Order: sequence, then structure tokens, then C-alpha cells
Amino acid sequence: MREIKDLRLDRMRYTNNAISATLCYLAILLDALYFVSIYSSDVGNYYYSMTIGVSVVYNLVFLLVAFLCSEGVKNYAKLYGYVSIAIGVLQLVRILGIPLNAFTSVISYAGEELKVMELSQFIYVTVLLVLSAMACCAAGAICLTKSYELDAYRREIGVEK
Amino acid sequence: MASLSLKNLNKIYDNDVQAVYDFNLDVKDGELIVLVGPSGCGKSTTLRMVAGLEDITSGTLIIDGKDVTAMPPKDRDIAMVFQNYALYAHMTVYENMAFSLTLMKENPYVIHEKVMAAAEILGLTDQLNKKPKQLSGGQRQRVAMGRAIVRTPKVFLFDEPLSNLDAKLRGATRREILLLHKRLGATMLYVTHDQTEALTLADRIVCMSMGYVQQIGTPLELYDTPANVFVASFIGLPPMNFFDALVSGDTLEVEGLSIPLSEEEAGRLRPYDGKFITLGVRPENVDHGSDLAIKVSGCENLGQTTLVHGTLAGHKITAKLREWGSYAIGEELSVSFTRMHFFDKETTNRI
Repeated sequence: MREIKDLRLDRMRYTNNAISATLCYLAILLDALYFVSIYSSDVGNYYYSMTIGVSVVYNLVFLLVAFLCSEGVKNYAKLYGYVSIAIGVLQLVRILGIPLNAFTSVISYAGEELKVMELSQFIYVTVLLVLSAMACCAAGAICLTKSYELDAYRREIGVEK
Repeated sequence: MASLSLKNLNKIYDNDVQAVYDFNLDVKDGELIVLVGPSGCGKSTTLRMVAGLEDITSGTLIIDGKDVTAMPPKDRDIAMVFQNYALYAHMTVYENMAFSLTLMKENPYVIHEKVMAAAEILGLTDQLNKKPKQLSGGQRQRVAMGRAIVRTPKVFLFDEPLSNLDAKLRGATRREILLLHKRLGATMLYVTHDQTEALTLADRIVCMSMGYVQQIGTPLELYDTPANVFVASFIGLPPMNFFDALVSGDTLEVEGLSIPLSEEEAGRLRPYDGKFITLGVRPENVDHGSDLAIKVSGCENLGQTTLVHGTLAGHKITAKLREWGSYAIGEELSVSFTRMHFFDKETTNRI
């Protein structure tokens, strides 16, 4: 029988990168919790703007790309590792969009001054986005590390992908 | 690996149909036993009782000295390979083979080593990342066998594993099973209705009919000394020719034809003098001679041999001649019987 040089790496030739895929799913879940929290807010007509439209579209794009990433990183695809890190970084950038703007905004509604986002909600959605970003970045980083290791191992034992 | 003992196993279904009657068998450690018989003879039911997939109505099943009659299938430490492979379509070959060990919470690295070893044995190393639908029938059946091997069970059970394969693949996979048995030295119980599989694979064959065991013996014993008319007709291809024959001193009378008996044969048939018996002659035991004349009704050339179909005193007969022959329909072919089998007409047992 062929000698197995590195059991961990050899096993990776036949098993999925389940941890990266799971982290991507986690990022999707956290993002879903984020937009449920934002979209269920009903503070006057603050959210009836172009910004929320862009946010909705970006959410859909994020969900799609994160799902594609989950499938890609599962199969040790480097491209999806990089994409996963990129969408993770964008999740952090999003904090500067709706959450921060809403938190710092006050609107007049029925003669009353209303704070659009309370501190508790701001912390909640920020934590969700940060965790989602961490999950995406970790998924990508793990995928890239494993992919390069696996490529090197394949070269060492002289097998094609 | 382990020994296996089946004592007085009976299977009666809820509708009072009895599928298996008093099945007794002792399988030695590392032995390959083939259960053979026509459809509905109870061979698969027996195997399923061993696997625990059918309740045993009465009797005792002992694996490696332990009574497992009432034990659930998962605790019996056996692995079964099915006719239809029973692979998970959404899993790769590797995942299919590793699945049972994963369920047992085995260490992933141990699983990997076992799967790789099994894949090496079965020649599946290059197929491990493929899904079952990307494999041929023979490869799928090898995966099913691999899934059994990785568990290193006490007993392997095969339920007509080659029936879904075409003739060429069946031959190749049969040889692989034989090599696997030699390599693993495993105790195996193998069910088939194909006598060629039975004769080529088995250490011992259990021939069954209508729920009863007809004969247990080595392939040569079943071929050479069949216990009764059923075994004689089931084992051997083309099947044995049968005639009603009257024992008359040192000769057998078949519809006016007289067939001389050897001293030993005449001695064996002495208690039947003046009575009718069943005479059995294998096609390969019909050869050119001068005793009898066959009226040819058809001829099949098989390369090394020629099958000649015809009639002998009004009875259909097939001869397997070791030659490339060509015989016209209606032609008379002179033959002799080089070996004959005699069966009691009433009990159908061998004389």
C-alpha cells in the first residue's frame, strides 16, 4: 500500500473544508439577524430613502456571494477564499452606513423629536456585523491556508488535483 | 473474523407462509459459504435472518460463540453488501466508505487509514472523490464492498451482489470477490441464484429449494455426487438429462433401449432390480460411442465444445461434445454415456 506521508493533509484530499463552509453559513445567519433588526425598525419615515434600497440590494448580493463562498471554500477554491475575506471586510464597512447614520440621526415625527436608533440596537447590529465579518474573514483565511498546504502536499506526492 | 452457527432456523411470516425450514449450518472461521437455489427458495430470507433484518421465528443463531438470535442488527458486528449497492448518491466514494465509521465516532485519521487501505485493495484509489453516479456498476459494487471492509466485521454477507452487472463485469467482479476473500480471510455468507458463482466462489455450497436445505458440500461434491434430483438438475450447465429407466439385471432399459451397467453400478442398483429409477446423465458425460443413437434437433458451437440437442428414445437430451462439430437436423449421432447418476424414483434421492 502507498505510504501516507501526512495523514492530515492526505485526508484533506478527500474531505471537504467543512469548517470554512460552516463559518460562511454562520456569516449568512448573522447578516440575516442584522437586517431583520434594521428592517423591523419603524421610526417615522427615516428608512424610506434610497439608502435603504441600496442596503436591501446589498443584503441580497451578500447572501448570494456568501453562499457561493461557502460552496467554494468547501472545495478549497482559493478564489472564493479571497472573495470571502473581501465580503468580510465589506461587512465592517457597512457599520459606517445605516447603523452609524441611524444611530446619530434624530427625526421630527408628529411634533416629536425621535432618536432613529437607540444605543442598545446600535450595539446589537454592530456586534452582528462584526461577527459576520469575522466569520467571513476566518472562513477565507482557513480556506487559503489549507488550499496552499494541500497544493504543496499534492506536488510533494506527485498527484494532480 | 468469526465462526457462525445456524441451528434449526425457521422463518414463518405473519401470513403463515414458511420460507425456511430447519436450517442447520456451521460455518468455520474464514470460510466462504454460498447459498444457492432458485428464486423463492429461502436463501435471501436466511441471509436476512443472519443480518437481523428478518426476525427468526425459531432456532438459534450463534456468531463467534455468542447467541445473537435476539440481538439488533447493529450489535451483531456483520456487514452486508446488497444487490442494488445501497450507496448514498450525494456522498463521494470516500464519504460512502467512511460513513459507518463516522457514525461510530471513530477517529477521523483512523477512518482515513482504513478507507485508503480498503480503496487500495479494491482498486478504488482514483475514484474516491467521485459520486456513485459517475461510476460503473462494477465500481459501485466495489464501493459497497469497501464500505463493508472498512468496518472489519466478524462476518460478511453478500445478497446477490453481482445480479445487476452485465456478464463480463460479473466475471471480473466475481474474481475480485474471490481475491478479496483470500486476502482478508474473512467469514463470508454469499447468496446467489447463479450456479457458476456458487461453483467458482464457494468453499462449501448450501443448495436450497422450497425453504429446505437440499445438500451442503464442496462444489465438487455437489457436482459429482448430487444428493437428489433437484441438486443434480440445478448444479451443472447445461443441466443434467433425466430419463425414467427400468433396472433389469446388468442393464438399464430406457424406452426399449438397453444401456449396459458396470459391475459397480449393477451392484448399486441390485435392490432396484425390476423397478423404475431416474437415470441422470450430464451433457458432458455423453460422448461419441456405439451404445445409443441421438436424433439431432439442433447444434450450438461454443468454441471448444459443441452442444448437440436431440432426442433419445423420445426423451430430450443434450450432449456437450469436446469438439467443433457440425450436425444436421435429423442426423443420427451414435453416443455412449461415460458416467451415469441414479436416483430413487419415489424419494428422488441419490442411489
